[in-house]
Amino acid sequence: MTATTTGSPQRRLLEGNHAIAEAAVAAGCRFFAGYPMSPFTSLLEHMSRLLPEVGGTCINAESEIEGVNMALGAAAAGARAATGSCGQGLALMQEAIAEMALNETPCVVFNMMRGQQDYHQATRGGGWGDYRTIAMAPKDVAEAVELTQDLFDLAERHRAPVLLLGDHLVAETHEAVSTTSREYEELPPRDWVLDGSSSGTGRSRQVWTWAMGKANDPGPGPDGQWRRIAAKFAEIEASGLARHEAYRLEDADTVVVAWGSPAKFVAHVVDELRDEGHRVGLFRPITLWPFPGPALREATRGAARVLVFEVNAGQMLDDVRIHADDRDAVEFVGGVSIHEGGMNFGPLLDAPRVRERIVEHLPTPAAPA
Amino acid sequence: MEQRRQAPDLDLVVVGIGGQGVQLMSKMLAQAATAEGRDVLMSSEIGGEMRGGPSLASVVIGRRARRALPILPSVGSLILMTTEYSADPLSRLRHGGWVLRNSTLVSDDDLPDGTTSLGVPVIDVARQLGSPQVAGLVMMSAYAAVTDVVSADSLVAAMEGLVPPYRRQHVESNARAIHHGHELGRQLTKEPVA
Repeated sequence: MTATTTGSPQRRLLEGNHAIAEAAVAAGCRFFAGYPMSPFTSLLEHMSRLLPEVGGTCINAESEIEGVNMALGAAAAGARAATGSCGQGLALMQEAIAEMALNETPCVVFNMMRGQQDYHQATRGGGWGDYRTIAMAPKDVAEAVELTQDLFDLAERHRAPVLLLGDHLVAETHEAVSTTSREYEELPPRDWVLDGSSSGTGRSRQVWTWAMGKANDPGPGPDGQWRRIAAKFAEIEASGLARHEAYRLEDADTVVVAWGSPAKFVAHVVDELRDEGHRVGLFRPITLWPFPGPALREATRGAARVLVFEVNAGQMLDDVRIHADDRDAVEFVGGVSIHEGGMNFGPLLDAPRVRERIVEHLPTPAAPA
Repeated sequence: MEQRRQAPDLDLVVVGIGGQGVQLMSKMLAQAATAEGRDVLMSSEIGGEMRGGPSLASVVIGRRARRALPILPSVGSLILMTTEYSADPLSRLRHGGWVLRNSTLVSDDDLPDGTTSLGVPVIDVARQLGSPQVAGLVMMSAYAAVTDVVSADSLVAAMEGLVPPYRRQHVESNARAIHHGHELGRQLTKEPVA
């Protein structure tokens, strides 16, 4: 299966990591550096095979810290660069992600999670300083192909690191998908790229988080730089970039909020419960940051209960409590659940178990019409 | 791209013991269906790093594939290569569902009362064909014939695409196994189901 620079319209059966790799290449990714860790590893392997076919470079770095910093360097020099791992590897990358946010280096970072443990890591960040990270969570392989491409555009458009939060189901499930390149609006000029074109002019470009500039070309310094970056992220948050999926919410008196693969399980349960007369719907954030707060407020207006289902101890829960129309209506119905091997979702992620968690909170339904 | 208008929608869980046989046979079906223009989802559950652990695969073909869950709450058909690890999949078999069992190892008595099943002695067949490793291919080809979900030619093409370079010497015997299994499946459907 050869990579092409424009993706492939033909539908093929691909495991998620393969589809994501092809989508990345179709989006122009030409540099990837990473270190193996399940369930991210095959994404690195696919990139190692695909990138040389399009004149790109893939490096099996010696650690996650090395990988993300290699990607930072490549991106600063103008390549569409990416890296990834699972949450434990992302933990090692936090400083570099903060640096990229604060020194405006675009990069796509893939977190192929083992469960859903990394919502806080993704949305609050574990680095330093006043920065935010655009983060998106697909529910399946088909959506991952779209979001991966969107993230490469967003990274460059906003000159920032951005995150794709997958999980082992997204990584390893096979779906019949096509990976055609998506189209985007024109990007701002790439006058920030360290391409050597200003060398010797006395005004060579710098990538410097402290932005002090040079004696003959002073920069804004840390105060100016960090204020500007903070304002940039505030503007991104207010810009309408947030996305969500609203499923059967029109007359819902119970709103279930879920993200990623588990949201697909919730949608299945919503269908079952609707058939039984319950007025229940699903609100699925697609951007975890910016969180679709205003849309959630609108969707939960008048709802008797807002049930948060995620496979962790309650992380997106915090954002739901902030934004739901009635904070007191919010209940957590998820929980930590990990397979005994430590690498996959545990027994909670199964439609009958998800159903139990939701049904516990439902009133007796009216007779079906 | 071959389009078979009458090909059914279906979902299937394949149950066996690792190695890679269950995964290969399931992927062969999934690839064949994709090549025939169907919507497909396939997910796997492989337990343990050593051989002898569970190896399961779920395949959904047709309109339900896009919204199908990677862990199927219920399923319309099962392939049981052994009795091991079959209890949970059997508990998910929908009313009206059916089982294709490896009758070399799985008898009708091994299944819950009232389970509709067909048996193919795939390990015996594979031995007769000269290689026990093709049992899964025989089984999946029989399944494809019984359900008419994909053609034998599509299975052979899928198998050829899946066999790694260092196994090319098996392509021909694999293809024979597929055609043989497909014929066995066709024979099965000529007889009434118990």
